[in-house]
Amino acid sequence: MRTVFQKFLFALTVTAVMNALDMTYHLATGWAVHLNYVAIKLTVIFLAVWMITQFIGLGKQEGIITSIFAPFMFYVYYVFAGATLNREIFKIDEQFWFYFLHAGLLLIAYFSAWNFLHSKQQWKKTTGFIITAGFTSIAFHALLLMTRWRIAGMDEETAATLFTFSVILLPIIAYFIGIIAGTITQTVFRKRILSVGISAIIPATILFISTREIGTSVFTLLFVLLSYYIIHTFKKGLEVIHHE
Amino acid sequence: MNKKGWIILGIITGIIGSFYEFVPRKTIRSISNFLLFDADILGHRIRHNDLILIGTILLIISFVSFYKVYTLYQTKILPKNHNP
Repeated sequence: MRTVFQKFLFALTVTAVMNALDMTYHLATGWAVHLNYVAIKLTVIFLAVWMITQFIGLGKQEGIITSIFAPFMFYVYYVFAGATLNREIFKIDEQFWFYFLHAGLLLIAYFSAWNFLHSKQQWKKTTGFIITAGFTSIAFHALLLMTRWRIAGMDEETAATLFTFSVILLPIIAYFIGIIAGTITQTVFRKRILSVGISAIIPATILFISTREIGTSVFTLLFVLLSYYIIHTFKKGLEVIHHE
Repeated sequence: MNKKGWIILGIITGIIGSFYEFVPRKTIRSISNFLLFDADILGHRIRHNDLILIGTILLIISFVSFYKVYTLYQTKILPKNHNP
């Protein structure tokens, strides 16, 4: 049962990192990020990653097959589903070339988590951890922004217009400064609590100073703590199937 | 679950998944209105895109089932201490 939960968390993290990377790319290049589409993407990618991890295993071959298969199923969904958003106003990632982008981003997400778990080289482990923890926190933050707009009663097209790269740029910088500072603290002082504390407090402080919103700051703190909890929980006891 | 069970699961989910994913709504309606599940569930109206999503999920289950069969077949033909 414990392994089931850890595999669930692994799949959740890989999905969150892939979506955060994808969302960052979309916002930076002017493509719309829309809550309903993100929800579909999360569902399809998560199910594919989780089912392969749960019933087949965790390894290099599984990672490559997952990265090819999950975005393909997502593309198939796009092709056969009916359009619900005005395509004349909003550009959505439904063109075929996005399949390669999604596959590439899923490869990065999967192998960042995989390297953090099993790489023997410290730099790969650390880089994997920073990418995984950073983008998991950013995914939660983006979800918070979109949910807030939805709760405020904003219609989906207005919310998609509001969600630009400038909205997410500061949180990205804040989360990465915090997590890199926390990683350095862990390397120097070897104290986990101090490292986690720094990783959470720095982005929360930066976002509080810039937005003057205590709510955003508290959520930032919680998102970093949640990411660390998820990552360190799935790390315990996951087995790898080597296909080298 | 053994190999036979995975194959049966793969075939069943593959057929149902493909039906909802690839068959046009008009064709499904011409077979039976019941197959469209045109109803409210917990205040949510079942739309065509929901059926497409269910079809996609079933196709994922089907793929994983056949992938599992492949891995079971591989472990059967390769000795346990096989190291290429």
